[in-house]
Amino acid sequence: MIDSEKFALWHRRAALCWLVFLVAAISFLLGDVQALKLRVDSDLLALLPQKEKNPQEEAALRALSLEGERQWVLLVSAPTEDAARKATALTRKTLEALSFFPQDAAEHSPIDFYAPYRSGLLTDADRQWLARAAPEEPVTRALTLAYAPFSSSPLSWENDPFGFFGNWLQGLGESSPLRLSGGELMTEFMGKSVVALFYSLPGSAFDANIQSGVTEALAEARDVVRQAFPDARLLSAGVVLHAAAASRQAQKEMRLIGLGGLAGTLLLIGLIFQSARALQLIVLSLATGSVVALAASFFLLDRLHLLTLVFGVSLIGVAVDYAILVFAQHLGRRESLWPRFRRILPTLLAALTTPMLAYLCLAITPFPGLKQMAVFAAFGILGAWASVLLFYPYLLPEQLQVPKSAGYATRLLEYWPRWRGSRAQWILALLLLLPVLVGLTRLSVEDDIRSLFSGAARLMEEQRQVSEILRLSSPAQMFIVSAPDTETLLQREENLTARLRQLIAEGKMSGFEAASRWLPSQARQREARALQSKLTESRRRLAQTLGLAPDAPLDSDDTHSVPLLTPKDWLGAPHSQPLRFLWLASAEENHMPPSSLVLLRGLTSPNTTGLLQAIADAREGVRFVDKTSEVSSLMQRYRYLLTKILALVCFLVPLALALFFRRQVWRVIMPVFLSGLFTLALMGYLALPVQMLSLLALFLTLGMGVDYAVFLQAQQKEAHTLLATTLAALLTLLSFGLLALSGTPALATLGLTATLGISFSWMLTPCFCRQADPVALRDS
Amino acid sequence: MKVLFWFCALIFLVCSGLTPRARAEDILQDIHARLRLAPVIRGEFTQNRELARIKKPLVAQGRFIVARDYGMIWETHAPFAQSFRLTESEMMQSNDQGVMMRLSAGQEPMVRVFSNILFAVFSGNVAALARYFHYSGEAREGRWHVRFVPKDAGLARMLQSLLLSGARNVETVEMQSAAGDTTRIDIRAQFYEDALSADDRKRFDD
Repeated sequence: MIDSEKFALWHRRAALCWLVFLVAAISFLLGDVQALKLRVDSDLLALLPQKEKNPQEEAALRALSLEGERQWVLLVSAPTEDAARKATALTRKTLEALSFFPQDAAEHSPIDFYAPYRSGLLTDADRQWLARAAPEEPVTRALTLAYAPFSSSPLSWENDPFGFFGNWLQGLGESSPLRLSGGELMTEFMGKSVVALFYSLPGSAFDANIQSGVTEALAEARDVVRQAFPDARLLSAGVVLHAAAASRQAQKEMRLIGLGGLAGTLLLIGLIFQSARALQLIVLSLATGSVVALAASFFLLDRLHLLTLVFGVSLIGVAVDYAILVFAQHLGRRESLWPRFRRILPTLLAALTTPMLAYLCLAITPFPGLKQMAVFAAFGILGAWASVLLFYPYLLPEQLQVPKSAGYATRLLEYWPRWRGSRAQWILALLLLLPVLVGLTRLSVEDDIRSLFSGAARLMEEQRQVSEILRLSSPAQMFIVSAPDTETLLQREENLTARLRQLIAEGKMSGFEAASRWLPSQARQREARALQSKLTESRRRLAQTLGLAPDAPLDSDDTHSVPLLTPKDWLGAPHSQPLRFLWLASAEENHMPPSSLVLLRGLTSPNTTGLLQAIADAREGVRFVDKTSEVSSLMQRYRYLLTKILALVCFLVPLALALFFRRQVWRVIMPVFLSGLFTLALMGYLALPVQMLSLLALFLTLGMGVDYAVFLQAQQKEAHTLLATTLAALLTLLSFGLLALSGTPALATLGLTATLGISFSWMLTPCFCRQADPVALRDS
Repeated sequence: MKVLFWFCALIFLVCSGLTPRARAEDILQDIHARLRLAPVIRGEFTQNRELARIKKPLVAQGRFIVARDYGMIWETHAPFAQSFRLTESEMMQSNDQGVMMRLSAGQEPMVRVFSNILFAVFSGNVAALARYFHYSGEAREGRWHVRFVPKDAGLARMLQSLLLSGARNVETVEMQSAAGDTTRIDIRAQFYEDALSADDRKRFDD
């Protein structure tokens, strides 16, 4: 009795502390709602692991994503140029009315910038031609060009008699298909005329206001253009569109899972316990859980992703378990409160431990997204649990009526098949084993990150088309070249791009973008000048043939006295503006060796990445970055690791539980193991591959399955507990089932695996219970 | 008084500067109506190039075919044999040693622009040039001449101006490059046909 009073005193103090903590958490959250809102993220890349070990690579990728993040592009395509122009004019007008103004289509022509340096600029083809040209050939070439009706060089014939500079400029044209024509940037694609409009965002692509502004404007423009020009098409791409789609979807799912889960929970609890107070208590526990989860996440993490919140709301079903357990214990009892509460304390503690351990497994992976989910889930559950533990004793109603449904549960339990170890059951079990084994052999694995974050299919298709038309480079695969000085850097780039040109010729990729295309190394420029100096004799003969004054030689040697083109010159030129992100100048400021990006385009087969890796390995200072396969191989490593941990857990958990249950431990373990096996087998039949995430979901279900078994096994009055576990399992199923409907494959996988595992756990657990005489609830 | 005169002259100039668009449009339509269009046009030409700083004009002679739905082939016979073929999607220059330059519209979108312009010029479809150029000119007693100036800075870097003149046909084409080279082409002996012969069709194929 004294013990009970002491316990009550301590409990009151703890409850008071918890109340103070909750008030603090609420004021932290309400303190600056706007600032916290801005920390909610919809950038999928933020969920993927960052490479901590390589700041240079990170700087490069950051530069690249910043370059792309604030841009969105709109392509207007139509069968004829006229139609494309008219549709573009209408698009411009529509968007300008919504205050979206495209970037000025002014073109900074590089011709005047490069012309003085032309003696050092030769295409690969011309370099090779010059190196092996017979003495007669240059003269013939120049005369042919002189007599040709049209010239492809922007310089007069006397300044570019062999057409080398014209050819070199044409090489620059490879980098973008857009040409300024009639005030618009235009190109041709598959027989259609395409106009490109580039828009820059007034702020971040992850700002909700900007997202809705852009989506609405785009929808409006599509509408207007479709009506006026039925055969014109608008294609759009940009990070902002993906971010907008992702956050729209996440918000929709949060509403669906949140409201669906909450409504289901309240409905079931209300039906079964038929008490308004019980409903209030459930809401209290869920509300404190949410407050603690949000406060802890914002306190511990820089940013919180929308998908974390989607996953978070699916925890409603898990968080109500504690309340349900307490209610079930409270049913029809007349015993005083404290002794009863002390008795279920160990069960409540045990029930907290397993999910916490499961979420810890989420947190050990290097995926920021999973870490966020782990933090959010662990604190949310802890919050709901603490409220049940600390507030409920003061708020529970005097008595909860034993519901009619408890009688059904008792009867259900009587008819539930039990494992008795009879011969018939062994035969049945062995017969059942066969399809399970077949299912297991059908299991496949999947580590590709793209299968987890697919993005909206329509947007991805549009993005692909836009990239193809505009010849955009892949943001996920590239080379990073670095060297002790800029000259070596450019030489390394040239060596690399020479090899890439071979791959292009072999059809393995379609192009690349590199600074050295625009800025040849000094060595390359000197080589070109040396080759051109072989032409002095040809120039003299040409001058003679065409009657030029001997003292004014052709393409006079003064271009040779011009200093060579340097990185500083190039970076200062206006035309290099859109390309400067290739040149990682920030590396120099941070006392890192100079480095640059070589971007790739149109890799045709996944096998090529192996080849590109080999190309990088064979060259000093060249690194191949493949974000996609890097993350995928990380997922594979963690899938292996989680498999090992799972095996270890399967060995350790029975040992630990054996301390409590002694020789009966198999009754707790069997349902959990079997439900894991059944889940995997069913996944084999459903052709759902095993992924890192499905293993994590198995961990979650393992935790909950053990909980159910522990509850059922530890409590003498099975029917009460069966009612509680049934209710808990149903609500968890509801939440995870709703999560399985998510449009984000990662969340759907998590939800589906958990749904399967929990269903099996719930069905199998009573089968392995001791056949105690079920005590009718009325008698207690 | 003198001041007033200059003032009036200035007003006149400004006003005339404001109106030429309507008049010029008329002139292009007018000329377009006079020109004979046919599915296939053949002819002979003399090409006269004046290159900056080179006093000696470079004179070449040859033949051409312009075929609707195919493109055009420009063959120089003297003093150097070379051919220039232009289709909607490709530009190719070759001589007896082989292909010297080949550029597709897929690689370089400007090919399509050049192709449109040159095809319009040599097939007599001058109305199509309005898309790319500002123009002004005169038509009188059966003869006409029009001067075209590119609307776009990009095009102007290659071609500063284009001068066409003729009567029932385009007879002379004068192209002034921005870099200072001038090419004048005189067209003689044009023949109009309804279809391309099988042999000629092959030349557009490979």
